Amino acid sequence: MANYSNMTLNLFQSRKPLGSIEKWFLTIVFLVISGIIIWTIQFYLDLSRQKTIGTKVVEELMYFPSGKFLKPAVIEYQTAMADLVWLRAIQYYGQHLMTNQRYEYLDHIFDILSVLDRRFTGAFHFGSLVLAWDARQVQGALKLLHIGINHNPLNWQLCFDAGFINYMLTKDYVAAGYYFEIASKLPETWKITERWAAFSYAKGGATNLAVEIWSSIYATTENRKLKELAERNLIKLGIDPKILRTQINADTKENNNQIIRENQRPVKNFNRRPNRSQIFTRYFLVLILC
Amino acid sequence: MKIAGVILNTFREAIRDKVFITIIVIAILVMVSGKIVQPLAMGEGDKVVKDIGLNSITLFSMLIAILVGGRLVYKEVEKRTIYLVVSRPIHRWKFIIGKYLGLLLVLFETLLIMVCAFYLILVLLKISPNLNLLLSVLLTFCELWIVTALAIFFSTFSTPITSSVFTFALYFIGHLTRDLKVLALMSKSPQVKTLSDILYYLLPNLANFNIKADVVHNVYIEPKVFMFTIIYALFYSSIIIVLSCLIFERKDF
Repeated sequence: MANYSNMTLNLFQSRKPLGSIEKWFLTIVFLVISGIIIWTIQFYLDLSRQKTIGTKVVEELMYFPSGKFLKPAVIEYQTAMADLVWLRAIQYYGQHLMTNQRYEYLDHIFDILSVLDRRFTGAFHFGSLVLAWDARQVQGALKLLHIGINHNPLNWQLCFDAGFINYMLTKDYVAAGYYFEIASKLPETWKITERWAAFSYAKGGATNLAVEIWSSIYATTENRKLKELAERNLIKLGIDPKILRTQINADTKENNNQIIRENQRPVKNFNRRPNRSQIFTRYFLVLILC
Repeated sequence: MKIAGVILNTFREAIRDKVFITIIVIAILVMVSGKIVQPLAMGEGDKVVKDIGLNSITLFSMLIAILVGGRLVYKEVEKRTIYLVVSRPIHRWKFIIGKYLGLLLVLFETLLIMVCAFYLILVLLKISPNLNLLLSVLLTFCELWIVTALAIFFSTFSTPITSSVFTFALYFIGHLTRDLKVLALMSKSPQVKTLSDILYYLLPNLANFNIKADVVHNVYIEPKVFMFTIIYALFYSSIIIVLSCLIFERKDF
């Protein structure tokens, strides 16, 4: 046994030390082989990831638990979380748009967004359009818009989107007209929405509502072309423009008279400064209360 | 005058802490990351940058309050430097208040640095630097009064780790107290109702201080509510500090 170990020791000792070229050669060979192994492993891992679509879906779901759970979990960082979900939603949409065009979890993602940041109108706008057109989930889109409208009642864009989806996809023209009409009355709105409301009502058979809007446009606009358009549409709806003009003139006269009457009434000045006795009484009351 | 000495000493000590500097650097790096995210956000870049800025200011200042505040008193006891303070003619309550105000001064400085960095980033990214955003930062500072007071309160009788865990737990619960109110409303049992109500008023309502979404979306903030929130923070933190002083007074060294 001792002889054997001495032999081994001698064998190692007898070996010549490696030259610098050999050292470099061995190092390069080692690096190349390691590199090939790493590349092969990574390639295999990528392939296996591509194969398991089920795993991928589960991963996506893992990232997106219910909004009701996420909201308390992220405490006061809801807006930051909403931004992260928003970025993920864009990524999800883009990824599926370029591949299979299936958007199974898109409504779920936007549902979370609607819980995390209820004033994120951009997300409601984009989400509803994508859900309605790309994912073909019209009801989901309308549900999302209803949440958005409830929390942002002064945003005309969301009402317009609801009208647009109803007009184009569900073909519910009266509902479309209703949303367009609301949108037309909100601040910073797109002027065309009022006309869209009238068109939709007319197309949906709600003639009275269409006549009301066209008459209002006819009576208020100073744009000659728009007046002509309103007149044409009113004729289409069976209204005689001559009668309408007479009625509008009568209404205008009545309105003017009422304005004159109101201006002649004595107006109580609510903004006038209180006099000394009133100030004294107020201070006295405050002192008693203290 | 004696309190001023404690405040200054606490301030110097905290400033030298590596945790403090590291957290500020990370906070600024996170804010700068908004530049990368901005073009990816499809028209919502401005909102995202503002959100990242405000949230990182809150998160990192809370971390400083919890981590530094949690070991503030304990460190003095552990290093036995407390003997130098206790042996001098200074009241113990003055020591606690000095520590508290010193840490608040550090937090104020932290917020100032982070807010300056945030506004600089907004200007560089050509986003209108809305002054409303400062209201949210102000309420974050008020929230810090309470969180720091809690950290110091726990620090008077527990180890730094326990103190930080307790403070973080209360910070977390403080944002969910509205659920207690809902529970009280929904429950049919009078005991549960009473208990939920007691806990609701006993625990800090930190959700009051979260107006980040409102300021980013330019929602009107009622001045009266804003003022009441500040007064709430003032009174709640005062109560916690008084309790901390009482515990510290009875402590044997």
